[in-house]
Amino acid sequence: MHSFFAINRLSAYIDGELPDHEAAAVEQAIAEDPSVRDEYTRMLSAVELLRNHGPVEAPPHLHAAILAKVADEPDPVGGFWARLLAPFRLVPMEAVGVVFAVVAVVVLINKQPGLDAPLDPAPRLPVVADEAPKSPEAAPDAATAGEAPRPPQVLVHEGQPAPPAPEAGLPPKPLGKSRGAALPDDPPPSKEKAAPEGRYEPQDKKSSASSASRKSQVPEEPYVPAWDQEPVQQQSQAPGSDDPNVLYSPAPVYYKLAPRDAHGLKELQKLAARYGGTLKTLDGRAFVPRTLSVDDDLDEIRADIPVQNLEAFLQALLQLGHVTPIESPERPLYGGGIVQVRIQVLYEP
Amino acid sequence: MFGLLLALGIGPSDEELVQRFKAGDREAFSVLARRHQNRVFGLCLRMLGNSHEAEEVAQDVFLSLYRALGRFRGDAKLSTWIYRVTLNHCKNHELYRRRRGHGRHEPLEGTRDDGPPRQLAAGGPGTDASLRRSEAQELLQEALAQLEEDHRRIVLLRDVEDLSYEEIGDLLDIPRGTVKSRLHRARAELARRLTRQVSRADVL
Repeated sequence: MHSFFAINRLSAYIDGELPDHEAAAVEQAIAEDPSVRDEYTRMLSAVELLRNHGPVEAPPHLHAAILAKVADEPDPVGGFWARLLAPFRLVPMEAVGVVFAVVAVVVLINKQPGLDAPLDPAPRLPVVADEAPKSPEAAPDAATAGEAPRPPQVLVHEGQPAPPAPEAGLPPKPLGKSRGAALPDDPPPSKEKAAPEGRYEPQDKKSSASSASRKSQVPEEPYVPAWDQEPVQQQSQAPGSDDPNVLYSPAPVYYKLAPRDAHGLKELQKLAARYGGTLKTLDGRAFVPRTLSVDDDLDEIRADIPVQNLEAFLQALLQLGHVTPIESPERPLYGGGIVQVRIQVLYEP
Repeated sequence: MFGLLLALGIGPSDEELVQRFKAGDREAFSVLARRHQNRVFGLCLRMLGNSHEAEEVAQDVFLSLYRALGRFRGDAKLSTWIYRVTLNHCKNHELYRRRRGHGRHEPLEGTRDDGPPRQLAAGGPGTDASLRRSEAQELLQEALAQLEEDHRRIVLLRDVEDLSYEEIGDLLDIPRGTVKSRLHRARAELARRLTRQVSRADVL
């Protein structure tokens, strides 16, 4: 090692802070180079002098002087309440302020009219399926469905494309389970829903567990291997859809929305998101309200809403203002999946 | 009793004493003061070079500690915090001295660079060891007084207070590499000044 580099490492060498190979090189330089050795000797002497003679003892009266100086000081910790609240001093006031602000914003958002509607309100579902269910038992007739008063009216569109599943990777829940009490017009379980006699009926885990317990009570069916099974054609499969999980075709529901500016559309987007849906253009592209202007020829958008939230969404939609449901013959909609709520956008100057 | 426990190295930890002080036990502060007074006074003395001023500043340091100890969060070691307070008080005192027109450190006569090297008392018969020791202290203090403040501070923290590079870096808010290089320059400068004053054989 060059003497210059060795001298520059002497301090770290004395402290034992050098890696082994550098320490060995410095040792060699000390042994071979007199200038390095002299510098090392001087520095080591200074360090030893500091370590041996550096520490000093305080004068004996210093402690008493310190105590006398602080004797007149008020209690630095404070009284009873200060000691009680002492642990909370560790929490910065800025953090407390931020928490309060966030809570206030959340409360204000939840207090906005139209957004606090429950997800399962009482009014009936004003929706109609594209196509009547194949089974006459599966859907009640229009007269039966029309018994209850339903404010919004609906148009029926033919040939709507099958909507995506409500959640990626998760198929819609089976008929009658996903909707629960939201659709009281559920038809009674169809006899045709049962698999043809002699066929293996695919079941979910819960039903298979329960059926296992019933096995001793029902006559055993002949086993049919999986490769010999035909795909079960769900009686309520959506027309035009290859997805057997879409039990019913989504029905477009028309609403007129007349926002005075993009703010109304933003509110609509928030509303759709709140009910698990998305706002899209008719061709399925994501709809961004801020890009919409009066010059656009876009006059109709759609909100894809999970059917179980549809009723609540429509109720909340009516409370947005500037919303007019379009009169149409009323027919109920059953099943799971996504419902496209068509919304005509009318511009007001 | 506390003094005896401290002398034996037995007693509550700093953290425990701080908690007791926060709970209203003033005696805990007395124990802390006794435990740390030597290092506070020593650092003040080496930084300021004057025993009387060091004593005053040390009292001010402990007064500040007394006022602020209730807010001590324990993020760092108490000793590190005490060092920081002490160094700040020393810095303030030096600024005060400069404003008053006093020189930072006036080297004693005969210790300037251009002067002849001084010799310690010879180790012959009749030489008192305490005299040699006090002379070594004096020479050391003179050499320290001629260092730049940054160099004096870092060399004291390392070689007198025996802090690690990491602790010094935390205390002075400088990276470890800077500690290393600054310490090297400080030691080299101190060695150069000491060499001019006394031979190694005389001192050690």
